[in-house]
Amino acid sequence: MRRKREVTYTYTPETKTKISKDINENIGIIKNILKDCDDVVFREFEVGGDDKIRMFLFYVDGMADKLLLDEFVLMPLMISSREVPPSFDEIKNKIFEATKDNAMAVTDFKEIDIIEDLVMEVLSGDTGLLIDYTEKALLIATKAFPTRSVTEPSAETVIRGPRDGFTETIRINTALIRRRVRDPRFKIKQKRIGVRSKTDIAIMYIDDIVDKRVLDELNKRLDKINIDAILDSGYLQQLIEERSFSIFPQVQTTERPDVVAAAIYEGRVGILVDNSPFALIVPVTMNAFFQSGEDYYSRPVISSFVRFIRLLAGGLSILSPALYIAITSFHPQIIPSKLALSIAATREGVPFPAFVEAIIMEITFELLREAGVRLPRPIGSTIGIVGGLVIGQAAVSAGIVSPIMVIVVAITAISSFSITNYELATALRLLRFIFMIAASVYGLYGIVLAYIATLIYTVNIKSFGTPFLAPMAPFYFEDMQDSAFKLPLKYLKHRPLHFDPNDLIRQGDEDGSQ
Amino acid sequence: MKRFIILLLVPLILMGCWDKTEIEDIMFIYSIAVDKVEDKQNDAPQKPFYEFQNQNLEVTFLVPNPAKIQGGESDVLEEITVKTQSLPEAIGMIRKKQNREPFFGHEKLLILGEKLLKDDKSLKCVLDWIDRDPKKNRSAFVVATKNVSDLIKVSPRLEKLLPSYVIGILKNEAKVATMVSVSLNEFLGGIKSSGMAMLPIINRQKDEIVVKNVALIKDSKYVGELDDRYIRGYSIISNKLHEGKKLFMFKREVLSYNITSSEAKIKLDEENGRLVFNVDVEMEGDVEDYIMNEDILKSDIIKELQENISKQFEIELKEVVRHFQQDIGYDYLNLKSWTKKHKYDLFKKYEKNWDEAFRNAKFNFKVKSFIRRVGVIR
Amino acid sequence: MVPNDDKISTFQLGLIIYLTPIGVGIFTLPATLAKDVETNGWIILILGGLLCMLIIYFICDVGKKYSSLGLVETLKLLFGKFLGSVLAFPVFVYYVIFTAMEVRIFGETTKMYLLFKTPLEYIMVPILILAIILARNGIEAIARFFEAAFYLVAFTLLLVILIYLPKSDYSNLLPILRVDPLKLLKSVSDSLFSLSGFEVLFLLFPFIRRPEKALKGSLIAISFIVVLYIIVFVQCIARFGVDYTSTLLYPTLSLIKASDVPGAFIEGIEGLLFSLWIVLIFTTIVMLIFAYSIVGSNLIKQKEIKHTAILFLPIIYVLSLIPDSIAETFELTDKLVMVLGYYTIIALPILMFIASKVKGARG
Repeated sequence: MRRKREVTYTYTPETKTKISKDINENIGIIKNILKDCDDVVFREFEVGGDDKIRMFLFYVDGMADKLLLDEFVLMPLMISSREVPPSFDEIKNKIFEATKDNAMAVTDFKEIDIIEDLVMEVLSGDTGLLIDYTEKALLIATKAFPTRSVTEPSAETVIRGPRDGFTETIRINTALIRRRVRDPRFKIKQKRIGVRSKTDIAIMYIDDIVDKRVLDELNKRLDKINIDAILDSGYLQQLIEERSFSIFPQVQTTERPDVVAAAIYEGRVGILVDNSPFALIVPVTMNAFFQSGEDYYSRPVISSFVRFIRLLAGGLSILSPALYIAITSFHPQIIPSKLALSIAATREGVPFPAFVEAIIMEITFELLREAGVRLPRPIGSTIGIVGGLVIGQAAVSAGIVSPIMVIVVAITAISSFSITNYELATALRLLRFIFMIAASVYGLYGIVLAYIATLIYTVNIKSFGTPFLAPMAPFYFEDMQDSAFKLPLKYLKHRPLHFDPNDLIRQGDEDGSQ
Repeated sequence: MKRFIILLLVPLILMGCWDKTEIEDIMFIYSIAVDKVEDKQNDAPQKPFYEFQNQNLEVTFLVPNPAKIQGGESDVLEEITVKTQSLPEAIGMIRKKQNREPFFGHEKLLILGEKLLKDDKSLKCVLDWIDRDPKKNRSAFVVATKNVSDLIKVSPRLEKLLPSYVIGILKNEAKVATMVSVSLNEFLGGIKSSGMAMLPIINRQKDEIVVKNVALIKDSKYVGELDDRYIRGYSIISNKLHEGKKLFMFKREVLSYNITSSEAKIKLDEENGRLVFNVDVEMEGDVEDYIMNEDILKSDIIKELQENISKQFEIELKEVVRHFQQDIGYDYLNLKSWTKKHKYDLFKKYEKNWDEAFRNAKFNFKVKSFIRRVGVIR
Repeated sequence: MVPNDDKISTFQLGLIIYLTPIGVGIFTLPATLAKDVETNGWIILILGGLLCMLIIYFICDVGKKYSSLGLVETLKLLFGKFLGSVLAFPVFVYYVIFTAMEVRIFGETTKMYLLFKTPLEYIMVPILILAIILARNGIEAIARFFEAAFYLVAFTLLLVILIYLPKSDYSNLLPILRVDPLKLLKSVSDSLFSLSGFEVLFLLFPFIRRPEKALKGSLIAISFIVVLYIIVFVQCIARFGVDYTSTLLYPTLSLIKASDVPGAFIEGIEGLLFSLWIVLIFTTIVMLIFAYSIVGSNLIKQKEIKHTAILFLPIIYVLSLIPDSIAETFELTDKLVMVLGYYTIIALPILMFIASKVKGARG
């Protein structure tokens, strides 16, 4: 009989098998499901003075806390239950309740009555406990897998500000956020996405601030996802974006819990994905990409200046090679005579037109950057030296490029590194080439055409209903206080209007009224 | 996305680089010097090949050589000379001699020869060509010279490029009272609005150049020369003086007064069918030298000095105006436009024969000069 | 989250009314005014601005009443179906020719100041394509584009003004009011037509979120334009004098060219400023294309404005290449202004104002 069932059962994600009263049958099914999964540990034991009741415990080795299981689950069940009343006979009929409520000293339980669900939970690190004669199973929270400790985020470093960054564990990450938002209205809704991976994701928002339409839209998009696995928040980001081919990111990513917390306080929604140290924030605007958490921690005049520098860097990183091409090949009257002469002198003998020269140098620079990222850290610095020599010295003395071009590439490089958001910096890198091509055809007119085209493109982008260029276009006068410049914190009385939060007031008046 | 691809493709599809000239293939023309060398007159009404007749103009383009500049050589300015009938043709002709593309955006200096200035037809041609073309640099300076070919051979001692040298001198106008400098814009504006313009004359003096006198142009024609000594008065009356010196006599000693600011206020009346200009001038300045061993820091001495200076200025201004009225006979003081702006009725009355009215006008001067500082010794 | 309802705010409307008239017209304006009324151009500009405000009042009065209808529908309602269409047709022709001429003058100017050897067609086509793309995206995207572009434009204007303010001779502006008054009145129309473009307001009413505020927004926008025009005119006269200004074809560009910024990194600033100015011209072209596609699609009962915009693109391109020379272009533009301009800008609003009053009294 048992044997027969074992053969007939085959696992598919859709099957839902109720736990039966016969523990042997249940064990059979579980073992069938987890066939050849050698990292799963099965433990059968008997409980009670006369070993009347059989129990079955299984977990994934390495993901569950063995110490906890030994001390607080197996110990009371196997040893204490024999010594301490009530005896087995007394509780014969309510064995499940007795086990759950009286026997084990573990904080977190869940009751489950579907075998497949139980297996799923066990695969995420918890421990399943089956009890004979019971149609329910107990799930004991024993998640304790190897985690990286909280370290300083490597991609977004700040000088002034907290140093903790997200890790790969969603629990630690939610804890990092919760520490910053101790408000019962702050909600963390968890979901599982990925048909096979069953990755945990957490949607975080403050209930009475968030724009409900954004939340609904987000949930709608998340529910539509039907993919086998989510390995990183990057997967999720691509799956919920409006425009997949867009060069501009429509979701903000960050490694810093303080940035996520700040966004949540602005009425935006944060998304955490298990196994990924990058949180997602929606909606996002161009404005947000040019801000850094540090802006809010340091003095307003300084941070306004820094923001101006960043905008300048954005402009320079797109425009400088294009302007070089336009000026040297089309409009030399724009620069002072002496500079024009010295550029002409240095370009004497360079075999390529300015456009080719710029393309060669920019591509060399991109190669160096890519190589620097891919190489192991110790060798990485070598690339810097080699690159510096190749770009700076050898190319010039070989007469392939002019020294001015080297300066232009250097300016581009420096300015693209000073943009806070890595994804935006990458987008601007791509735009730079488009501008260069346009400049090589039409000179300054080409640059203007490219500018208009970029603008047409960006005004059409919306991130979860928020126009990408807000608060500049559409214009929100009130939000100018925290845009290209930033007023002192004292004056930032309301949340950004363009995210349309439900509760506008961020800071009451000094006398406590709102 | 489809849209963005289209946007990307727009420039690519239309690929073509009509205007592209690499900067090293450009000939930066720093200066154009034009003079008339011959006087052929051959104007048969209809004839093919106008190009090859009446090649009266000699045009020299001064072009710095970038390679030589970088190499640190001294003689970096190249001269390209063509004989031609008109300037547009001259550009066609230098293309036959030089491979690089002539470029006028960085032109700094326009040198006009004396003989050209005396021929109104040719001058008009040259100026119209410059005015019509938007590629020209309108803040370039304009100068006149007696002998163009002599002038452009000067190799300046401190500067590398002759045009920068000349411009540097012309910019000293702000500090020297007896000099004017004229930009292309002012020059063309003057010729178009009142028909009158002034040009500083520069000439060669061994291996230096010297600004001396001013050429007067009226209706695109050279009418005469204004001596340096009258320029200070002219600048004071037309409110163009920035800074400058005047030597004056005090207790039989010649002292120097440095004007730091001057403002002329004109009032106009009519008396017996004659215009009467009352000019009040107020100026400030410093005394730069004084008689040794005498204390200058007394208010009565200062007062005496001021009166002395004022009187000598009044004499000077009178002489300047007399020169303009009688010797030159044209209103270079720009009083016509002043009258139009401030006394429209009188302007309407005398508009037709303004020069006549200017010659007959009476001028009264009242100068008030102040000495503000005397230096660090008493 | 911004509601996706194809409506624009009052600020956006004001910006559209502000940026649409500023295009290539400002290049020639000082010369036209200096030729006709010498130094009194700024008075004419104020008079023209006031006249324009009056017309805007008419437009807003009618528009508010029938804010859900467009121009064509309103005309049909006021004058009957057939007569309404007949009255609307010249407006359509006006916008089509206006677009074509704007593109042509833009091409000529660019060729003169930026790209000397590039064929005219290759200058005109890319900007036309970009304008069509933006116009097809609908009024919301257009309004956002105007806002985004405005920052650069404001910066440019500020720069131009700062460069010129100190270095000019303002006594050139004298004498005041010494010209034949009849001449003054005649050139008020010049000044009014330099503001042409504001009449797109009529077409925008169905897209305005709060039609009752349209009047205020447009009036402010017009007064800003008038101020800008006055500054440009005054600067030209102060810099060049009346006589020289009137001989120039594009005094405004010559003004930019004549600048020398002391100690600046940039020397010939005019190329740079002109390229920024292209954005301003672009906004004009976009709005004109949008205007003719609205009127056109209402006339031929085409639901999708997008398709009408594309449909007439070849016609505009061909029209813009018809004049053989720059002189002919200007003549044609003048003729356009004479016939269709007077009709669209002056006659039609007044006619509709009266008709709506009559209808209102009757009803």
